[in-house]
Amino acid sequence: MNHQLRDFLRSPLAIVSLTMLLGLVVLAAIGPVVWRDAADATNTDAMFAPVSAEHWFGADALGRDVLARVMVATRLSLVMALVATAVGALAGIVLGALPALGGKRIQRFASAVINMGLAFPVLLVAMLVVILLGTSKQTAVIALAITMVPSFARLAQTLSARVGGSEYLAAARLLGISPLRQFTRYVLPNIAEPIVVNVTLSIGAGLLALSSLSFLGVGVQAPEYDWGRLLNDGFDQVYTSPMAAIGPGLVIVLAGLAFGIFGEAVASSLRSKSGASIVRVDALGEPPRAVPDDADDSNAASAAAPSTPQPHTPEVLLDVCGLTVAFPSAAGWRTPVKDVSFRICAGEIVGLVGESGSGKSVTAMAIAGLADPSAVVSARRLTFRGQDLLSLSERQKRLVLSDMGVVFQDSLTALNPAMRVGAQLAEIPRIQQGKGHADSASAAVAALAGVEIADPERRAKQFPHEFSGGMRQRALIAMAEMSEPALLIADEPTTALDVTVQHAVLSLLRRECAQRGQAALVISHDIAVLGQLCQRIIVMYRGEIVEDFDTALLRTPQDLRHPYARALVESVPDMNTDKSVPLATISETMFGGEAA
Amino acid sequence: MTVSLEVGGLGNSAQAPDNGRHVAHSVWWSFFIRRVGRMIITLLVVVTVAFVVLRLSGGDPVRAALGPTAAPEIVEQRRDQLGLNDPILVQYFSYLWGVLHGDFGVSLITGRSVGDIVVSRLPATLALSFISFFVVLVVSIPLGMLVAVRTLGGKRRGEEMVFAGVTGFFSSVPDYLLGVMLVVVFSITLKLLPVAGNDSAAAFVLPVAALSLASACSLARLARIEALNTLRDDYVRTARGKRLPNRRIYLAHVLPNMLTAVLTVGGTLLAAMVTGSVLVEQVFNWPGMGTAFVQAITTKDYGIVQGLAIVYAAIVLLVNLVVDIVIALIDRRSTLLESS
Amino acid sequence: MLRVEDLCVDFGTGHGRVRAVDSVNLVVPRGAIVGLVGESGSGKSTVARTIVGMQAASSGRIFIGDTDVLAKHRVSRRERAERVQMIFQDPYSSLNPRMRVGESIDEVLATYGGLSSAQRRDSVAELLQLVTLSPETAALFPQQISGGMRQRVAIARCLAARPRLIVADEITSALDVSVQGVILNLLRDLQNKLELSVLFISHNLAAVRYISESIAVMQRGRIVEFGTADDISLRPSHPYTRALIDALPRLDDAGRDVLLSRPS
Repeated sequence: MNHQLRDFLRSPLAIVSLTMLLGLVVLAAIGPVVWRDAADATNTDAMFAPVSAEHWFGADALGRDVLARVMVATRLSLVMALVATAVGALAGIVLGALPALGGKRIQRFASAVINMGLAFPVLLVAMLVVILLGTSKQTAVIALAITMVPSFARLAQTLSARVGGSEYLAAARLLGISPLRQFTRYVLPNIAEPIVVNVTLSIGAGLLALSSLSFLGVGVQAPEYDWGRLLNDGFDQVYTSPMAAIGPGLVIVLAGLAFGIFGEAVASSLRSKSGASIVRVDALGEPPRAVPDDADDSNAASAAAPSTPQPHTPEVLLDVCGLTVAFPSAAGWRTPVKDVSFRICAGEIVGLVGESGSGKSVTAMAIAGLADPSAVVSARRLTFRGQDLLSLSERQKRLVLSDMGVVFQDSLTALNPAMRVGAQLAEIPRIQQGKGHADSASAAVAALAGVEIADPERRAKQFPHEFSGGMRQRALIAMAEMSEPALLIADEPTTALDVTVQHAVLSLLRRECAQRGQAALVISHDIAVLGQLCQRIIVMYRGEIVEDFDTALLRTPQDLRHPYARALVESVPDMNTDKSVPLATISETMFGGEAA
Repeated sequence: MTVSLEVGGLGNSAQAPDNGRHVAHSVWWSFFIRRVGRMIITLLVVVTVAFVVLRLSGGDPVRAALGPTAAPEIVEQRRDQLGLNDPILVQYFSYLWGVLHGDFGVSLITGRSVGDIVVSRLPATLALSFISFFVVLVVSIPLGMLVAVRTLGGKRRGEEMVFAGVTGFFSSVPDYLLGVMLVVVFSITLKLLPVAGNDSAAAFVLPVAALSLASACSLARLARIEALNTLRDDYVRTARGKRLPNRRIYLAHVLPNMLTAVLTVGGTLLAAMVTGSVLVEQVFNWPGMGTAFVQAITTKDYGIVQGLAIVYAAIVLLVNLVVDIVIALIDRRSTLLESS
Repeated sequence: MLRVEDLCVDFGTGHGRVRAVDSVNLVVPRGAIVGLVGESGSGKSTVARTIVGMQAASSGRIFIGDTDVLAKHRVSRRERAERVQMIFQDPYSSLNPRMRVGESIDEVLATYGGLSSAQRRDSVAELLQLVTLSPETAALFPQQISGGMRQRVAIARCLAARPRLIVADEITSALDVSVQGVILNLLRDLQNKLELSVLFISHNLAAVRYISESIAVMQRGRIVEFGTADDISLRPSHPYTRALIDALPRLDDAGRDVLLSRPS
């Protein structure tokens, strides 16, 4: 916690905004004491005086120094904004968060009230309060507080609905935890951070809103004055002495900014805690790259000649040698893929297996040219159909890689939710091969029919959410096959599917490859799935290849060389596992890296 | 959530959800009707609250408007004219009846009807607001997307910081204040553009700039964040996997999917700009509803204040409604989901 | 321990009404693990949620011990919690991220009273050891431990309420394969040691077969087959059960290219 606070205080945004806020607080404290006399001293000689060494912001209609008046007004302006925000936020949070614990009906009622409140225009609320209470500073504060309630309530409602629907709160209810404790220990701590950020931002916005009310003449009334009032007064003399209006205006903007930046700083510090921070890449130094040692090609050699001889060895399609992928992270460069080498021949189906964090997906995406933009990909050799992928230009690379199709894991998001499925397929021939609209559309329908989607004409006109999971996966396969690639890379193609659907999709993949003489690299966490589909399996563990073997070896796992590969096979129960003995497990100390 | 997934996921590829198209139509209409109904109810509440508030305000509004020196007979006569001596319910329903027929009340001082003011001044206000909104959309979305694409994966950090600094600063300058500064710089000091009025194209430049800059900056910030989020989505990777050119990816895959979030906020900005125009009109002496509104506040003519406030509320509600419908049309899935 | 009779659950109203669970009968004897297997949309999770009271039933009876929990209203929080507990699928979301592991378990013990804070501390340590975690784990936040460890914490927390029945809903699906084995072994050990009654719900027939004495197979809201684990796996009588078994990839077939020779 302290560590986090220290990091926060070191960020430039926090330093700037805290300095500004400190200045504001000091001004609010001493302003009326120090400058009260100067601010109230009328001077007929200085009426409407322009900017001078004596009057930095000029003087007003009574010859009073505007700068001194701005200083004095700090306290009133700040206090009004703080009070209004505090009242508005408190009322909003109670209205928004408490219903999360109540029943559906209470929640719906609260939601309707909040919706209504949000629909009320701010200006209308302010005017109604003015009509009801007359023009005064209290009116302005109350009006502002009321306008803040609905948005805070909505925020608290959204956040607490998230907590209310969470499994940890469901578990707490089942466990008999008291509702009070549910609210104080489960709901509040989990919604606090965004609300704190929002309160800070709202103070800044409140300052601006109050000043505009005063500017309208419905806020602070003479002889009292806040910044908005001074701006209003100054605007009358904007032709003779513009600084009398701009001066207070600048102060309002700066004060609003101070709270705004502070809120941003808090928000970004919270984001960085949740792991989404922006890492300063230049500060990390050189990324780890592939070891430039051509002599040590033994890895690749063993990969090219797997433990069992292949009947006829055709051309090497993909040659990966010493592939290394590095990502910048707060703790320095992370290398999820280290010195990985293997080859895929034409028509060969190879599986890549490993657990989460093993680097299998990163490897596949780096090969397919789809690594995250922040990734640094390097290799001693990375060739596809004899072309060096690392030295090609973006344009050439896209051309070469169009012969490498990618099937993504369907997570409902792999297809563009805003585009019809047919159009998503048709854009490949249309854009890549310059075919006409009609031709492309019929090619898309044919492709859908090819992956056994019934009624393909109608389906092509539907959106992805109208498809079932199995159908989306088929559509993704059809999409990858559109350009008839020589190599298919499939990333967890059946993970999201039911077993019966999985079987159908695997059969489809196998047939597609057989018909087209296609090679494939299939990534999965499930070694049994790869056993069905692949001829060769590569096992990855913590970013490195630990075993590369002929699939038939799975029938006799005791013959596998690496203990991890063996354990991976034996730890999964199948329909013949002996129920009387415990499952084989891998000691968890091996998985130190699994923690989030 | 879990519930709907369980049900929605019935069936495998053999009998996939077949009713999508058929259901979509009725779902869309029920959404539309519900949304219009909600707006009408809100408007009714607005009008009722406004009525109640004016009655509750204590004292005599006519006396307050005409001033302490006015003769009692004149005040009484005006009260009679305005129907203020009728029973409260009669007043309420006649008021409601009036509002339904476009009669939003009259000035307590001059007796001029709010309707007249609206008819003569609304066009200027709408012109200012909508031109500004158009400028906001045209500037912010391409700018935000461009910066997102250029700074993807932590590249060009300098550019990103300049963008964040400039938009951050200007998004916290209130529109009326910016107006004042623009007047000082461009009209008074440089004498390039007119100070007031709306009788030439040049006269639009400063008010539109004042009203749109802060909104454009905050929307550009949002557009950048949304574009970055969308660029991280799986289907964008799918599009890259299809080896499409970058331009196609940004325009066909990123833009439509970030638009929902951007337009949602854009809608609230438009509503805020309609009311924000009150102050900007005041600064530029724009012949719109805003200047009339401020004048009525200053002279405590609460008849006009109330009437115009309701008109503003109606405009804002209408804008919200239109934006919701536009978003529902763009993002068909959200309508479908909302109803479930 | 658990007897479900003619349970029906409907979602939605009017024309949109969908029967998610249709006349389900199910028995979990005292001290036994019964498996409930089915694919997504089969209604198995709805059965689980209805048993623990997170979902209202449309009709039917659910006996836990001798009481019909659907008929009996007005029970204290504590009584209800001691009757049945659930272990959730995703240990990443079933533990409060703002609460240390020890406190999560401690607050359950505190809810049932009767223990001093020192006794509770000892109990927390005991429970953690029971699920093969070191007592020091108590001081950590859920984010600081691995998924497998979190799931063990969730099990310990569930045991702290001393429920008569445990519903385990897909408790291994969110975990890596090697950790799944650890959790399955642990659940078996605990069941032997503490004579727990468990309803084990999963889409993975192999895992269900391994851990359960008897298995119910669910499809589209109905239980299509119920029998001992051996009967179900060796002599399935319902075509859907056979389809499920046939679809499972077998290591015996590895490298034989069965996908081409045996079309779906």
